Amino acid sequence: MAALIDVISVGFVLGAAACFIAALRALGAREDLAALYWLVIGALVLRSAVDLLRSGSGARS
Amino acid sequence: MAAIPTVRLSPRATRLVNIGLPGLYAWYTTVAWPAASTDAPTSARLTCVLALVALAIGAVSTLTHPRAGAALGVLVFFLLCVATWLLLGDALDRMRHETLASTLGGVGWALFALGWGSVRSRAGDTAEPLDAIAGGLAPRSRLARGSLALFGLTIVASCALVFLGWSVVRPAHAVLGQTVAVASSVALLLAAGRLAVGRLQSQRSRPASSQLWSVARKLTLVVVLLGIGVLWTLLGGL
Repeated sequence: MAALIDVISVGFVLGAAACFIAALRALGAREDLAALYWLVIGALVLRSAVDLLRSGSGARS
Repeated sequence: MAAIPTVRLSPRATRLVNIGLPGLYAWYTTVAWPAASTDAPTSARLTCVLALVALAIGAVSTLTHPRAGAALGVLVFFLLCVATWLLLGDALDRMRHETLASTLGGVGWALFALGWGSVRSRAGDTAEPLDAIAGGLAPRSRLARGSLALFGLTIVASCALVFLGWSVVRPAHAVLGQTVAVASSVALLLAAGRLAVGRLQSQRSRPASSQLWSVARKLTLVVVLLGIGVLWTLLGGL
């Protein structure tokens, strides 16, 4: 199970990177709404990746 | 207190990074990018490439011959950059309209100067002072497997983001594009760093189900947004 969490969190970071890249490409293609959309998703996914690792009881979802 | 895993670079590798990376960045933003324009003369492109070669050879040479390396990596490199700017002529005008690029390029040159400044003070040193005193500091624990690979991948993605920032050419959005590129690169690197260090600790301290539950709300929102995106695409395609 720990290995699965590992894979998920790594996948989240790489997924967030893909979302940010998509956001910048959309911004370059004059698609501002799409850029904002991918930025929000990327931020949520990246935050989830970090929260997955937070130890103790202080994690907020 | 939890042990903080560390990865040590050799002093030589650290020195190469300190003097090579800022110079590479300054070269790319202020020399290579203008020289890549369609109206740049061939002579400017040639001096641009020679400047990069001088920087690379100079940086590596400092490991064995600090003075010669500094002469090549600083003086020759800078002269070739100046020659490139002179040969570019009017083609350099595009930099005038790219305030952020010019500013970042200036920061790159400042870091270049600081990085090479450390070569002068360390000429003749072969080891870190702390190593000589304590006989080397061994890490108290090791990183989880794959952490370095993950961080390497994130560095590549961050570089891609910085390069993509230049693709936003609309004047009103160019600064926003650069800001997004830099901010997302930094966020990615910070997250990857936390992940690389925290993976082993997290596996020992919390049950997996608890970890998954802590992100359930965010993931639900992501799934909803993705669903909305798919629906929007389907409706837009009709």
